[in-house]
Amino acid sequence: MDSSNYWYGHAHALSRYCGLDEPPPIRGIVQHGWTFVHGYGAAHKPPLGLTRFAWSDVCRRRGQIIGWRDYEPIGAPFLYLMATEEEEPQGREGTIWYPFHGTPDFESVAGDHQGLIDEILATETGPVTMCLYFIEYENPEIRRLYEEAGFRVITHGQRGAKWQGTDADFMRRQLRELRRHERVASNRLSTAMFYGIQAGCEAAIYGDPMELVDMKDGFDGEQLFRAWYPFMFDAQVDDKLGRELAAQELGVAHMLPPEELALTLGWTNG
Amino acid sequence: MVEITALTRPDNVTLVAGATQYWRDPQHGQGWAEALTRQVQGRTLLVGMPAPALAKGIAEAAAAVHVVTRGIPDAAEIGTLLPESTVWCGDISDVRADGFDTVLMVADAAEVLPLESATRTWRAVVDDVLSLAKDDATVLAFVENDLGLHRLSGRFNPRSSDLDSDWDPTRTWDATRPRTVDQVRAAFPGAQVHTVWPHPVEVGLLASPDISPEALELYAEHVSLLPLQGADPGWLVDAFARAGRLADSAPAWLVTLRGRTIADVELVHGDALITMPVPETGTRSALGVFAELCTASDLPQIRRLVAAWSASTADGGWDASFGLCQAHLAGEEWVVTPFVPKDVTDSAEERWRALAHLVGGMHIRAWRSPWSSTASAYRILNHLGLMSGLHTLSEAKANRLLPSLPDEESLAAGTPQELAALVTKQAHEVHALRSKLRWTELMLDQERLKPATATVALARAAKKSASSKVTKALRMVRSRLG
Repeated sequence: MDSSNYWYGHAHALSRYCGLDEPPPIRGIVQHGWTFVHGYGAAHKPPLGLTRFAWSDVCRRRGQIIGWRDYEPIGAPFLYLMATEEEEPQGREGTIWYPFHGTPDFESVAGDHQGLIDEILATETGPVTMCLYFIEYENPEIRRLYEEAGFRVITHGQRGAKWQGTDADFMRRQLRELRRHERVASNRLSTAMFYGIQAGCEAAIYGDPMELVDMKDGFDGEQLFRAWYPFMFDAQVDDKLGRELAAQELGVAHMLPPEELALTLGWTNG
Repeated sequence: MVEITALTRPDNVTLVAGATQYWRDPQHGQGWAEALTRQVQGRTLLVGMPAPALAKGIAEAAAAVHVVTRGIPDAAEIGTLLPESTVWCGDISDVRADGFDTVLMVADAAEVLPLESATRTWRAVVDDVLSLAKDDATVLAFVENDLGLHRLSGRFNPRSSDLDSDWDPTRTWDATRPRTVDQVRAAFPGAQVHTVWPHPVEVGLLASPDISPEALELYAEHVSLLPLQGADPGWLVDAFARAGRLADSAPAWLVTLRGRTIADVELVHGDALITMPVPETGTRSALGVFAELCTASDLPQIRRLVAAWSASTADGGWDASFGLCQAHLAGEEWVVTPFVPKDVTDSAEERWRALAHLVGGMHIRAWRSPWSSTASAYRILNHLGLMSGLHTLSEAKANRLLPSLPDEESLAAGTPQELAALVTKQAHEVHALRSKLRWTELMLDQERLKPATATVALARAAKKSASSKVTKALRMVRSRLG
C-alpha cells in the first residue's frame, strides 16, 4: 500500500469506520491533504492503474482538466473519523491556531513569527492554543516564541514517511482538540481550516501568510484562494459560506456507507 | 496532459471566483471578426475566448472593452494581447462591472461556466451574462446546438468521451438549453436568429432559418463539404433537409438583440461576411447531385451534369463552384443554374478552379467514385475537363489548382493522390496477407488431421491383425482339441 495512505491515521480512520481494527492494503491512493491542484502533492504522482481516492468532486474535476483520470471521490478520511468518534459533551473555549507549515519533503516556511504573534494577540479575545506542525514544533526557537507569548503550544503528532514514524492517532487527536475550541484560525487556507469548520468551529484567516521556501511551481495557491474564496479571508468568516465550502472541499456528499467504502477500497471481494 | 507550472498573468487580468487553472477554451470568431466588430458600440463586454483578430477588432471599435474567460491561461493571453482592456477570469456572476452597451457572447454558455463554480444551468449562465448589459444594449449570443451536425458526424460522442477537453459542467443533460430554432426564439424573445454552419467554432455561413429549405440545404451543403478534413456530413445535411429539420440541426445559432441586421444568407470570406443571394426554391445544389452520382458510379449522368454545368457557367460572371449552382432534372437532361455573381475575367479558369476543388474534395474525402484508385486526381480532373469541353491541362497546372489536405504536415511529403494510392495498395496487401494466413491455417488443420487418420488406420489394422491372430489361435486350439 502507498505509504501516504497511512499518514495522519487516514487508513486507520477508514478501517475503523468499516469495522476493521487494522487497515488492509488500500487499492489506490487516498488524497492525504487538501489541495487546489489535483489532490496530491507536488512530487506525488500516483502510479497509473491505481485509483485516485480524492476527497471531493471538485478535486476530481481539477484532475480531469490536466489530463488525469481514474478518480473516485470518497470524502475526506476526517469525515469518517468524525462519524466514528462521538463528540463528548464539553464546553468549547478559545481559538486553536494553525500557522501554515512546511513539509518534511520540500518546502519550509519563512516569515516573521513575532509579527504573527502580535496580530493573534490583537485579534483573539480568548485563550489561544497554537498547534504547530511537527516540523516547527521540533524547532525550539519557533516553539519558544509561541510559548513565551502565553499560548498553549501543541502538536498533533508525526506524519511519518515510507511506512515509518506515522502516528496513527494524529487525526483523532486533532479532532478532539478542534472539538474543545470555539474557533479555528490560520494565516492560510489549509486542510486544518476545513477540518475545524467541519468539526463545528467558527473560522478565521488572517495574518502574514508567510513565504513558502522552495515551493514547487504551481503549488502556491495563495493568490488564487483570495480570488476564489474572498469570504474566507476574514477574522470572522461567514459561518454559512465557510461550512458550504468545507463541505465541498472535504467531499461530504461523497461519503460512502461502510459496506460501500470497504468494497471501494478493495477490502471486500467484488 | 498539462504540466503543473506557476500561472502568471499581466496586471490587467483580475482573477475572480471560479478562475480555472490550466484550462483553455477554443478561440471563437476567427472567420467573422469583421462582422462581429460591426455590431460593437460603446463599452463592450466580450464573453468567451475570442480569436486574436476578433479581440483586436473589438478593442479598436469599442470605447472600452472587458473580456471574460474562465481559464487563467486564456485570460493571460488576452490580457497581453489587449493591454488596454480589462480582463476578468472566472465566473461571470462574479464580474464586478456592468452597464455594457454591447455584449458579445462568442462562446456558448457551457464554455462560460468554470469548473470551480457550482454547476448552474445554461439559462442561469445566460441570464448572468445578460444582467451585465444595459436595457437597450446590443447583444449577440452564440448558442451551440446539442443536436447539431457537428455532434452527429463527429468522431466522438460528447456525452461519453473522456478527452482532456471534454470537461463541461453544463453539457447535454441541461434541460434549459434550447435545442430547436423555436426554443432559441423562446429563450431570446424578439431576437433575430441565424443558423451557423458548418461548425460552432469554424464558422463559414450564417443563414436565416426562414429562407426556403432548399436554399438552406444548398448553402449548408456547400460549407459543410468545404472543409476538406474530418467527417463528411453531406449526407446528413441532405437527410435533415428532406426531413424538414435542417434549421434545427445547425451546429449553432447566432442570436442578435438590437444589433445591426444580418442578411438572410451571409458567407464568411476572409474576415468578412458577404451577403449572398437566396436561390430559387425547388432545386438542389450541383455539389450534392454530383456527390450522389459519384458514389453511385453513374458516369453517364455525371457527364450530362458536368456538361450542363459547364454550359451554364461558360459566359462568365458567375461563381462556378458546384456548391453555388443549382441543379434539377428536366426530362433526361440536367439544368444547372449558377446564382452567385462573381467578377470573372476568364470563365475557363473559373471552371477549372471549380472542377479542381470538386476533384480535390472527392479525393481527400475518399468518396466512392467511378474512377479506380489508380486514377490520379490529375487524370480525373482532365476527365471532367473533357466532359466540360475544357479539354485538358498540364500536370503542373493541375497540381496548382488541386486543393491539398490542410493542416496535415505529416502528409506534406506526398500528394493526397499518392497517399490514397498507397492506402489502397496497403489495403490490398492486408487482404493478401489475410488470405495467406487463412491458407496456412487450413494447411495446419489438414496436417493435424493426418496423424489422426493414420492413427485410426493403424488401430483398424491392429484390430484387424489382432482379430486375425485370435482367429488363428482359435483355429489352432480347436484343431488341437480335435
